[in-house]
Amino acid sequence: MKSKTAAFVALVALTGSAFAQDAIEPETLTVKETIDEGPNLFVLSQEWKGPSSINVLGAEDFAMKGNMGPGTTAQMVLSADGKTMYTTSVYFERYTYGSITNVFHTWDVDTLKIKGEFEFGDKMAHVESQPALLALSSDEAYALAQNATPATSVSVIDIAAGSALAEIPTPGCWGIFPSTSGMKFTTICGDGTFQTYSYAADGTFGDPGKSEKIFDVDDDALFTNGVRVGDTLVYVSYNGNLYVVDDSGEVPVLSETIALTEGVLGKWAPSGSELIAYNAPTNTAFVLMHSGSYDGSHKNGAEQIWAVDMDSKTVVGRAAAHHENGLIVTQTEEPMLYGANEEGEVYLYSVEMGDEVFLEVAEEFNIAGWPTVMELDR
Amino acid sequence: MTRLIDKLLKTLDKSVETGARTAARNLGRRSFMAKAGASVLGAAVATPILPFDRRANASELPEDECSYWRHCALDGNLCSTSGGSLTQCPPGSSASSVSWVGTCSNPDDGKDYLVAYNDCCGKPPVDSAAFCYTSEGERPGYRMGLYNDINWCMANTDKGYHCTVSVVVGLAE
Repeated sequence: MKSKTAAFVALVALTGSAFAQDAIEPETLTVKETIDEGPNLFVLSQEWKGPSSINVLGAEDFAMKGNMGPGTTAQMVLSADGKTMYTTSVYFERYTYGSITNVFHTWDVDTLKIKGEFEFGDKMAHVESQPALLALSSDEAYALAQNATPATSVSVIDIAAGSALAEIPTPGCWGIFPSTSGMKFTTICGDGTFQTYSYAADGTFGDPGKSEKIFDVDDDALFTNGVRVGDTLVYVSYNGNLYVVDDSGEVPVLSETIALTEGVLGKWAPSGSELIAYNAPTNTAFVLMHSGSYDGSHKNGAEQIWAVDMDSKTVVGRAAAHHENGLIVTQTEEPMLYGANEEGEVYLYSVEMGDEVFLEVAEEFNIAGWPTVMELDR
Repeated sequence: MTRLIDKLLKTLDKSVETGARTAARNLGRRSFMAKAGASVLGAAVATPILPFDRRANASELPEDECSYWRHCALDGNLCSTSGGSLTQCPPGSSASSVSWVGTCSNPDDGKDYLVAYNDCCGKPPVDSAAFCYTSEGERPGYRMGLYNDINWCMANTDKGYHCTVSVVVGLAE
């Protein structure tokens, strides 16, 4: 077959262009310069033995627009204007052994091209992608990256300077939740407290502000990936409680807890990784849930998505889910909710708001990978 | 959680914190930790800390390998289906110097055992290996010693994830 193909190609070349031009207008090979217009959904398919891939899908029709290619065990975070994607990745010099480097990439979303890259050490955590493990400061001048050796620390990355500004030890703590203003972040700690760290542009940082004990790690552990709700951070616990933490001061304070499963039959409990999403215009949170919970079921794929009205602090909707482990929602007046599961399926749910909230699958797409974390540009 | 695990984790956290503070003073913040904390848990799980009960091995492997009692908190590929065994890394790989810990109940004697889940490192995963995804007692990275979503080859020279073993290291209280 190969020799026949080669002979045909050679024949076309020898007989000259007149033969072909008479038949058809020759096509021209080009590279598409920009992605198609319209809102986007970014789905990171993480790899542990090669490059990861950020799939860019049309947010309404799931049309494939292209991808960006960070390295192994990548993390991603999108700028507020949706124009720039930032990633951190591990690069193995010999794929499975030998030296590694961590690389910070800046990507132009319109062209899907690399705008800049630099190395920032070798301590970033090799871990499932999660929104809490790479974050931007409120002014987007700094990126905050989770390290683990397994001792934990946070790298403060000066994006414009192209280098790590500081490495802040955060022993026994995990996750990065930037403040809404200033140069601060809050993290969850293994003794049930939260700690807030401040840093300065010259790379200095002080002792953290440590909260009182906020949760019990043994009896009602918190999932790492919380969401910002106004001036507070909201986390989901294994038993189905929302913990509302005020991070506006120097020391985090527990504002309140909201029980989601109290009095509900069926041993329902939250599960997943990026398991809560929050739509600010409607003040509604969406949480992945499963029934028949047991010790160790906290990563099970979701059976339902529960809608929580954060005004009345009550569950106002329960809709069928599709085994999702991750959720994200637009910040539009009419929310559009996206879920992803470990089989590679991504779902778009239309949301009907009201006294009771209803969800209906509007689109689905299989990215044929491991969709770990998603971003939206609206 | 058992007091033993508490002790292990507190030792890890305390060492990391002490190491961090000392090194921050001596070396500057960017090189604060070295591997002080990393070696603590590694050493702890490499040496059985309680009298080892050989009955821990007694239960037969079930057809569904992931449901074998000692794999109760294992997220990864079984080394026993990657060229190694329950307690052996496959040839040519290296055992992780640190690990996470599970507390699993052996149905044969009804006792709870501490199981160290070491990753084996420096080779690609075996695509045909059995993948297990159990998380009994698992906690996020703020309890690092119980966390199974991270690559535990992270402290090795060769950091590529290969597979995971389940090594019984003691009786849980």
